[in-house]
Amino acid sequence: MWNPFRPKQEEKQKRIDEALSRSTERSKATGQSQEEVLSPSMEENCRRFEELFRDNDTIICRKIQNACYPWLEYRLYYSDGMVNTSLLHDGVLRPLVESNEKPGRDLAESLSKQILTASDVQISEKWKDVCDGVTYGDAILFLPHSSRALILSAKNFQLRGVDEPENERILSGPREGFNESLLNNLTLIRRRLRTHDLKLKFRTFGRRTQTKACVCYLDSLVNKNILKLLEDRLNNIDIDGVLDTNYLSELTRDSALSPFRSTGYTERPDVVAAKLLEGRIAIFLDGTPVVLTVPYLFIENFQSSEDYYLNFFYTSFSRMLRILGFFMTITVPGFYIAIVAFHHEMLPTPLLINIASERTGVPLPAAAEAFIMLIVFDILRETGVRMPSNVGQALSIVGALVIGQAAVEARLVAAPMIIIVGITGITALLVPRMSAPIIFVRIFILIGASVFGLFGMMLTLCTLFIHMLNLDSFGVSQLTPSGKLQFQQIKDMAIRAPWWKMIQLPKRTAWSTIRQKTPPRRKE
Amino acid sequence: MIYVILVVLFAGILCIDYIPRRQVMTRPLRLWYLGVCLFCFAVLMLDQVGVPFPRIGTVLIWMIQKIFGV
Amino acid sequence: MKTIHDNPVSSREMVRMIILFVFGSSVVMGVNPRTMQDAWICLLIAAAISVPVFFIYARIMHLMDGKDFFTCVLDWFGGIPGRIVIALLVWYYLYLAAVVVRNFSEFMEIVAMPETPQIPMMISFLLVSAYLCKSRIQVISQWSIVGLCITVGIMIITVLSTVASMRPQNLLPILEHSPPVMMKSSFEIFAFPFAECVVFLPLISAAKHGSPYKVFFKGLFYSTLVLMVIILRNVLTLGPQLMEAEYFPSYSCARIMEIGSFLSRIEGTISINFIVSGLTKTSLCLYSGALGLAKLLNVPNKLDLIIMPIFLFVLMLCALSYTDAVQMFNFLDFYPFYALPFQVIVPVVIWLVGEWKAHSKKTSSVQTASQPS
Repeated sequence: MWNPFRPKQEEKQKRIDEALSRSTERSKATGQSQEEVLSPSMEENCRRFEELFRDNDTIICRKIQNACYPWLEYRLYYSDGMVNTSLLHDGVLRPLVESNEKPGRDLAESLSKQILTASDVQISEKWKDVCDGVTYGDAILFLPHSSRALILSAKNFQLRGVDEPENERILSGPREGFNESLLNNLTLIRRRLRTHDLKLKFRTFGRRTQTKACVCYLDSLVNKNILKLLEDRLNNIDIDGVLDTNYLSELTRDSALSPFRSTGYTERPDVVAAKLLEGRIAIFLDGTPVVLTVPYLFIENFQSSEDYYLNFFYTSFSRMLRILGFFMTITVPGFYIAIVAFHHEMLPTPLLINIASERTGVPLPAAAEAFIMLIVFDILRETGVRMPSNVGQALSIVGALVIGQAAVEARLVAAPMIIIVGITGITALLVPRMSAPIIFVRIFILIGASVFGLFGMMLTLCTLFIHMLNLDSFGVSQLTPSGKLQFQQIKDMAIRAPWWKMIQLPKRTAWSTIRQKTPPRRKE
Repeated sequence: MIYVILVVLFAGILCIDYIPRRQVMTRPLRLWYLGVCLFCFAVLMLDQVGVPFPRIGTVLIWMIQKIFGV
Repeated sequence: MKTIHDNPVSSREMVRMIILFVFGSSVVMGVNPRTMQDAWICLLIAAAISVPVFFIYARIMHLMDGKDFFTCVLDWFGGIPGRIVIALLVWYYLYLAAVVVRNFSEFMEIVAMPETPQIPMMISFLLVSAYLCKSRIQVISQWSIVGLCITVGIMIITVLSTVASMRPQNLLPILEHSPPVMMKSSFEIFAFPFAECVVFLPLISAAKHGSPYKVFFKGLFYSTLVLMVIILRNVLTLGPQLMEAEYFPSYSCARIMEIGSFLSRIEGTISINFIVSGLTKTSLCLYSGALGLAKLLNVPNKLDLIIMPIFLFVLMLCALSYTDAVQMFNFLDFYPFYALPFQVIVPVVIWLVGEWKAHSKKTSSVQTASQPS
């Protein structure tokens, strides 16, 4: 809320700048600054390194001396548990110790080109590269009388396997899912899109986490304006840590206050490959299996990847069912309240008498009852997600029997309300991607219906539709991607045309604004 | 009750619409904005209190009867 | 990059907006029922009277040649007279918005919620209209595509459901009323709803392609068709006397609607029609008024800065417009006289000045072309 005692914008900005400069000074002292270079003395370098990483007992120091030239002393530092020690042994330590070649004038060059047999050797003079390397599983080799260090790639962490993501299960189709390693995820995509057109541009986020991210797109299909807009927004991100792609999604969104998303997310490589083929852009982040896709259209909330792996009749029906499910889950509680509280004459008389008899003796008005039951249902759902499995049985019994049956028999809640809440909850599960906006929109419509009946419900639905028409995702309108709401497109979005129809016509011409060029697919 | 609704509406308009956009408006526009909002709010509140404002319909009907003699 | 605001409005969407606009209050208030069973003939006469007036509107748009309407008015009339003309039009648009909202809240009060005070209903309706208006004309045009489908669909459903209770003898005797009564009724139908399309004068310039003549006349034709269906349905179902006696004939018609033997009294559906078309009408009036006011206040491109004061002003007008519903229905008799200056006189003046300017520009260009170089 507006606070008249809130400090002015300029003072706030000044305080933010001061805090930032304090933290950069502190990080300068820890050597994270971009500009600092190594000193020519190995003793000095090692002393500095040990001071930076003091109290960090996982860093191992290995002193080596060449057998033939004893004056060639090296120091190897690595982080225990993150490196492949056999690779270090065979590719680094053994050649350094046993080599009898006289090293050339430039020690670093001759070591990396002629003596070391490790597969990836980088030479660097900056402390930033040294610190980034040793914190990510590389080994650092300090050289005598040289202001350059070798960064040897020997990463070996424990990672989760490539298995199907829990939230995106399908009936038939590929079952691979992303895991937490950026390189593994990019490999999964490269195996599916074997073209030189696939561009992968790395960047880092987070001042302290230095998390690696990759922006991925097909060069000939992507819309360069959207790419530029995305890069501008990503460049503006200045945050201390990025742990998940949701941070990026919220920091780059178009409308800050809308409950609807403006970026897509998925954990499946086949979905990302399909979206890249449509000309979208994917953002991968190290440490999370969730990948963002940009831009995001509203209809993607209702799409599932198996729509293209199964028969088109079935998937068209499923898609329409999902749209119907979304509509039902937001309107059913409001509709029930509007009918029962305001427009009883709309019900057939026998049904009206039944509902009236069920509602006698219930202490709360229908609207309050609906709110409370929806909140109870959300509590049950949330508990079901987080509880340990051995409690599951007991809790489902508690939920069904106690809250459902006993509450009705104790006349705390009317029986039709349980049915309404059950329908609402189940239809909400048809569209898991929209679980966040559904909660908010449903309450909003319920409030409208409680105050003005069906008129209020209509007004809130109209407000929702106007809001959806206003939604943007990276410069593309979410509901009308080609700028117009045409029934041809709605037909294409709501049902899934069979593949043979999509080959003869340009596939989804609405996407021409997302793609730069639309090569119409010809039948071979 | 209606007083509360009107006050909440007026405060909401000022907080959500006027304050964040004050910087973008020129000074005359700001004065016009506040002036119109205050005037309308005052008229609405007084109307609720019971001050007998002449209804626009009545005025128009009187004018038309005078001018056109209907 | 195609945000919704990058695309110009097409002429087809403009026609849809005109149909939904004309539909606006008539769907519930009904078309003037004074002539009972001859109302449909009066509708046709009113459409015929509207043709020259719409021709004048389209000619004004043609003379302005795609430029913004209010800028052109200021150019043609000069400083002070131009501002007076714009102020008159803005007053008409904003008062029309207030009248529509008042119709809506009176309708809700009489029909559904007699104990709810009207101010909250007005506020909620106006807030949604202001939100639609703030989203600018492209969103209103996309909204009207969906809105028109919904309203026409519901109208067809109501017609099909009341077919069983229709009696063709309700249309007899034809031409029972004398020509002066018919002409008066036609004049009233012309003033409300047809000539209210003067609201579209500032908006047609948003449709970059397509001629304004086609837009206006197509809109006139389709809206006459739609209103004809409504009048015929009301007369055939309710009968002429009941139609004249009822405050809201369409609503009464929907009350006797029955689907199967179990679903009846679903007159809530007709309210959906009114909400959708009423919202469109109000937001179009607010949008035109906001455009004019922005020109007067010199804030040409930042419409969303002035929407909220306009909202409060229209709310005030709405609260102060009538004493009660009886005066609202009485005012319908005087409305043509009130609206005549704004719907006919001001556009005719603008048209004449426009013709004169075009003529003088042509003669001056002919003179400069014929001067020896």
